[in-house]
Amino acid sequence: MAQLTLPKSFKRSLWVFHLNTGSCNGCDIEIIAALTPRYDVERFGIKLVGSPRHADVLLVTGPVTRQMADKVKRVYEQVPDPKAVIVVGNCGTTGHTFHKSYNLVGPVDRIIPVDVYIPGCPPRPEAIIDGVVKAWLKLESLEGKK
Amino acid sequence: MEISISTGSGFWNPIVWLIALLIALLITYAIRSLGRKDYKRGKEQIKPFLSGNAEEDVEKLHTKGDNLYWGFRQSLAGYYKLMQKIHSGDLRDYVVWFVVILVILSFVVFGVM
Repeated sequence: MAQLTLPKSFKRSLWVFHLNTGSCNGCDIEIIAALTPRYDVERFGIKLVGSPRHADVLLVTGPVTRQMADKVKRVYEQVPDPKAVIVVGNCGTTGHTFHKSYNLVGPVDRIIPVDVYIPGCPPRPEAIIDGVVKAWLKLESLEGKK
Repeated sequence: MEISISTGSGFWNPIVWLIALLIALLITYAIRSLGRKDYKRGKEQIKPFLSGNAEEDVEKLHTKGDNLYWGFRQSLAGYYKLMQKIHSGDLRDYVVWFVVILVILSFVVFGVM
């Protein structure tokens, strides 16, 4: 891993808000798995929060249904800056099996800017943790530019 | 002038109360000033999080007093429907009703006599 001079913000915990935009729950279960004792991301200070206004990272699952599009935008705008967006799973990344579906407006990057993509159906918890760390590094660079 | 009140159940002094209020305000201000100042004013960041839904007009969220009578309105729907139809809001209609009822009452009262 590259040597980093960690700015002040790295000392803080990374709070993540999980947003389901029409997922089958496969990815959501893997996110939960990352929190369980086997992977236990909370030991790194990464934890899920109940409001985007408390979050540093927006973790998005699902291909974005038409009904969810405005909600995704609104939640993204409610996350304070600097923020990072992670898409978990193939659906949010490309639309996957449902990419031609009439009631989808995704993938996620058509609605909001995305920083990290974690492909997989569903991705393993290790991949999700790796993605969160990548988002963390992006936040570090944003914080460093301040 | 004595402004303190001391009773078996407590003590009251407006100066002490004002000082306590001032201290509470200062503490509130200190806590508030610890908050982030770089949020976007006038945008979504100042609005409450309602699971991504837009914040509705507060008046629409209130339960009106009318809701208390929902059961009556539901069970007497036929009656209310008729009554609402009759209540057109046009004063001339009400005058017509008044005259008609007055004539009927006159017949009933004076006719019987």
